[in-house]
This record gives sequence, C-alpha cells and structure tokens, in this order.
Amino acid sequence: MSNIVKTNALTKKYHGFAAVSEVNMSIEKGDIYALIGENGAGKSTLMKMLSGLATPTGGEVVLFENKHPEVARFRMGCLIDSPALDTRLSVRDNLEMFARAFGCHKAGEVDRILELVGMTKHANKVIRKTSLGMKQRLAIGIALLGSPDFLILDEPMNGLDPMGIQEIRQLLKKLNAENQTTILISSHLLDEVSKVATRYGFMKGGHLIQELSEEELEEKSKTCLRLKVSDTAKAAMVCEKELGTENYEVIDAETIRLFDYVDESSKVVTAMVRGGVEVGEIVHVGESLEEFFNNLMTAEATK
Amino acid sequence: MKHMIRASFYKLFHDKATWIGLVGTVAWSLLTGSMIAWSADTKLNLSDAYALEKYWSDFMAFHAIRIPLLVSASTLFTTEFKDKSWKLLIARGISKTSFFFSKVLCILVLTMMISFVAIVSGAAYGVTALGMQTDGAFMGNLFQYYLLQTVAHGTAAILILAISFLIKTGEISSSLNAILLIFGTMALSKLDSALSLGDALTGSWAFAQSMLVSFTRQSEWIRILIVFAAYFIICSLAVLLFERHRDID
Repeated sequence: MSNIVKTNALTKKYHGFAAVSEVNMSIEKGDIYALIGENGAGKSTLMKMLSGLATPTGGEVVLFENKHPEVARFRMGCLIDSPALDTRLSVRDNLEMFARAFGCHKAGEVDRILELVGMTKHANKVIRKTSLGMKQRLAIGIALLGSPDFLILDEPMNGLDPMGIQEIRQLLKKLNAENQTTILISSHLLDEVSKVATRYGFMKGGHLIQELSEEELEEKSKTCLRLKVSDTAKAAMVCEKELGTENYEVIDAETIRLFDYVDESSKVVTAMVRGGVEVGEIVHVGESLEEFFNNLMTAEATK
Repeated sequence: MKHMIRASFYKLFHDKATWIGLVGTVAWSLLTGSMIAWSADTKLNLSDAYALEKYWSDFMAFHAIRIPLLVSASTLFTTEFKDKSWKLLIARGISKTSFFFSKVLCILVLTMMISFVAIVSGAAYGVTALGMQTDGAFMGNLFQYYLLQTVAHGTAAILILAISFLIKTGEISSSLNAILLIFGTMALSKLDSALSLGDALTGSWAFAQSMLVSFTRQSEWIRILIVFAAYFIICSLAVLLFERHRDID
C-alpha cells in the first residue's frame, strides 16, 4: 500500500491559537478516510493545508510520497468549504474553464463529468440561478475533472436532497472501487459518512485524537451487554464456564462487556448470581458512529 | 502556466463583463466624439496638426477608455476572489504566480481590444462627422497612437490588477481604484507644483500616461515603455511577495 497523505506534526497557528496541533495522519491508497469532529475541531484547516490553501506553521505534508506537495497537487481534486464557482459563467463554462486550467481539457471530458454528477440537463444554466444542491454537484464535478487519484471533499453532502446524497455516496463508492480513488471526506452527517468510509480520524481542539479502521470501529461500536459487577475475574469465569462464551471484554475492575446473549440479559444475570457475582447494573449497549463519536468527545472533554 | 492562460482567456471571452466593457467603450467613445464636435475649438480644419492634437487629447481626456477598463479589470479579478473560485485552482497545484500572470496577460489583451475600439471609434467619428483627412501620414500616426495608448493604459491596468489582487474585497478595491483614477493625477500635479518638480511625479503616474501621449508628436516611446516596465516589475513583485505565504480563506 502506498501512502497518499502523510503528515508529520502538522500544525497551524493563528496568532498563537493552534487550529491544528501536531497532527500525524496517514492515508493510504484506496482509503475512504472520514475526518470527523465538531465545528472548530480543525478539520477544514487540516484540509486546507493538505490542499495548499493554508500554509502550515509547523510540521510537514507529504503527498504521494513526495516531500514537495505543490508538485503533487495536480493529482488531487478538492472541494473545500462552500462550492467555489464562477457565478457569472454557466455550469458548462465553469467546467470548460477549470478543465483548461487543470490541463485535462479533451473531447468529451466535460460531458462525462456533467453526466457523472447528473448535471447534463442544467449545463447551460448560469451558476447564479442554480440551487445550492446543483452548485454542490458541480463543485464535486470540478473536483473530479481529469480523474484525480485523490479527492478532498469537505462536507460534500451539504445542500443535497436525500436522493442527491444517495447518488453522491454511490458515485464515491464507484470511484473508489473502480479507479482506486483515495478520498478524504468530512461531513456532519455521520450516518452518511459511515456508509462509505473505510477509515476514520476523529479530531477535537485541533488534535487528531483517534484513528480507526472500519473494522476497528465496528468492533468498538458493536452491540453488547455492559455489566457492572462485584468481581470481574469471577464474572469472566461465569462467562466461560456457565455461558460457554469467550466473547467478552473486561473493561476495568468492575465493568465487563459481553458480546453474546445480547438479547438474553435475564439469563446472563441468573448465571452471574449463580456463580456468586453481584450484578449492580446491566445495560444493553449498541453504539452507532454518532454515539461512538459523542462518547469519544465526552471522554476527551473530561480528560 | 499555459493551462492557466488558456483558462483565463476562456473566462475572459465567456464573461459578459468583457463584452459589456467593449460595448460601453464604443458608446462612450461616440458620446465623447459628439461632445467634442459641439465645442468651438474643434470647428477647425482637422487636417491641421493643432486641431488633430486637440481632438485626440480631448477625446482621451473624457476618460473614453479608462472607465470601462477599470470596471472590467476589477470585475475580472474580484469575482474570482468573491466567488472563491480561485482556490480551486490553487488547490490543484496552480501557483499564485501563474494565476497572477495569466490575468496580467488577459488584462493587457483586453486593454488592446478596448484601445482598438476606442481609437477606431474616435477616428471613424472624426472622419465621418468632422471631415478628418485620412492620408498615409494620418494612418501612420493613428497606428502609433494606438500602440502608445495601449501601453499607457496597460500601465494603469497593471496597477488596477495589483490593487484588486492585494485587497480582494471587490467593493474596496474598486473604490480605491476609482479614487486613484479621479484624484491621483490631480494630487500629484499639485505636489509637482508645490515641490517645483516639473512633471516628475505626474509623468510617472500610471493613470496619467494616456494623457501624456500625443497624436502628432510621438517621441515618447522610451518614457512610456520605461514607466510600463517599472509598474510591471514593482506591481508583480509586490503581489508575489505579499501573496507568497498568504492563506486563502
């Protein structure tokens, strides 16, 4: 696997305030990397540094294993913040202009993009007269001009209707599957992101606090029974001997998570009591990405 | 750089502002010609050198070219800053240097076009309405005058671009450009008088170049080119040095 993005202690300070602080991140070829964080967590600033719109005040960015990111950026497509389009030109003219600027203007390229983002019917509309959803589609289209190897999409679902969100999600999956396009995506629609992402990076206060693969996140957020018990060692024995499962995890001195018998809590309590374990609490836990994110943010805030 | 130049020219010719600027220049030129025709001084034989000089200096003094040029040049840049469309270019590895110089090239071509429209309109009006003589000497003078005016206006255009690039907020940069256009020459001329500098300051002021070009006496090539080169170098350096590490919001 080759590295598409690698940052070493990447930092951006504005008048002493660190918007991004010593971020070490790596994105590998074929990843769909979801950057998740609250407003002001530093996601957009990080994306801006990767795309050359903001100059780092510390650390370095390595793109496509090239220490001179400005040389490698022609292989990237970006959508940062709101769709940045020339509002006086038409949809087609915008694509024609950017295709020329990116050096990928060839016969059929603009039509291919128009079709890809479902804008063929609106090709001759002036941008000023289009909806936010159409602008967003076009901005994604511009990012896709020339079939870049790496896409940076900051809130790409903004302004899209449910059908549009679904189409863009499918498009991203298709690009990733067919062309091995690597994608860095940020979104507030965590549920949507979780449908496409293969890796996750969680940011808070400018720090990248955790990176997880899709499998790791699944593991961490899968449904289980969380038990507060008097003795976790005894509880573990009950799990193995009485319930016949090793699918449990001891969290701390009084908490154990059991991934089997999720819908049979009374059976679990009975087994525990029979094994001489007092059960103080038993909770059915099943974290979605949103719940996982909220718990992570709360845990970080209390640190 | 060549891709960025292609893109900038595509935008230039597909942006309504360009064509509005050109049509505005034609309309303004015709209006200016009519106003001059009504003035007593130009009821002279236009084959006479003095009358010709007077006609063209009056024609240019009415800002026949600069106003639409100012508007077009400013909007050409400021819409890209206002729409933030330029950040898509920078994010794709296009340097700020390429972006700036492609726009300089565009604005110089636009200046050539606007100057051409204005001078041809002025000449057409002079010939048809005022009986201007069109012999070989006149045509030679007209061609040189066109080139000189293009360079003179190009100097102003580069300054306008640099200001638009550095300020970025369209309303502020356009206002500053307008203030410099309207009051700059006046203020420098007063300073020249107060400090007994002759026309040292006015003569090197970007917006005064057009007025200093004469139709019949065309010995100003070296001075006009030196001023143009000086503005080109200073404005480019100012923009590129200032923009080098500036973040794009």
